Amino acid sequence: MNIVLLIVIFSLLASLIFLAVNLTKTFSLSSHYRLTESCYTMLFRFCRLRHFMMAYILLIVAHAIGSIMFIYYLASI
Amino acid sequence: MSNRDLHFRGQMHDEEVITFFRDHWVVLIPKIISFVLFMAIMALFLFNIAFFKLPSLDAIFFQAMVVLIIIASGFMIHRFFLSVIEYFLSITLITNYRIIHRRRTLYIFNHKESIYMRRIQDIQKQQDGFFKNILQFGELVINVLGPDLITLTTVPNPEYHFRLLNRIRNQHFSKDQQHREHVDINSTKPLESEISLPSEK
Repeated sequence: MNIVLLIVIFSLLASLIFLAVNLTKTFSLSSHYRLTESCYTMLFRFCRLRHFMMAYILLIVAHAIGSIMFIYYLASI
Repeated sequence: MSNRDLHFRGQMHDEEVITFFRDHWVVLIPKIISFVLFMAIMALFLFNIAFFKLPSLDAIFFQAMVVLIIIASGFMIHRFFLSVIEYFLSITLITNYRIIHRRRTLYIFNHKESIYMRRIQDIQKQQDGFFKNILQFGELVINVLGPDLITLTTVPNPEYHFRLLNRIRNQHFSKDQQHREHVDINSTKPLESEISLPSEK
């Protein structure tokens, strides 16, 4: 169980670091143009990039917590 | 909202953004469907985990499977959001001078193309098919000077962009013509040396 937990924690940490890098890079690239407020595309009229980014953060954090809880659950069986 | 406050990196000093667009949202539909399906399966499994008879975590094969499933699910979430970011970063800008077509992903792809209005010979709008007409998207094929054809795919509201591009191109064309006429008039004027001076009495 310990090895599994270690591998999973390592991969989840890598996932969180990847998330942080992606967010930083996205916001730095999106600042190259100030266009987001009047986009012609329907999707981004209602869902701004920051909403997607919030969902991204929430899902990755939920995935990390859920994975560790799942392993503890399996160990307790 | 006026277009005056829109700007982008690499903009010329008298260049004005007229409009811009991303791909039609239909390109995201397959990704959204597969992601929602994946999340639904995961949620169903987790909420009904008590009904499954899972083996003990001591079995090596089961350990490997659990690790693989956790890594794969993380990968799926990242992949979906990276495709949304790619969708957001890939844009086409129409300014009074040019069309800027940019395809960008966070790590791998960084493609930028600039088509000057003066280079455009003609534009074709292609919107063939039931879904393209119902959901209002299509292709704009731009024929530029030389053998190149530039195709903008999944353009939202292609009719509007087609008319807009034609209008800007025609404005450039008439401006060029006026400039040429002005140069012609000036070149037909006799030079000062050619003007005969009045003879002295």
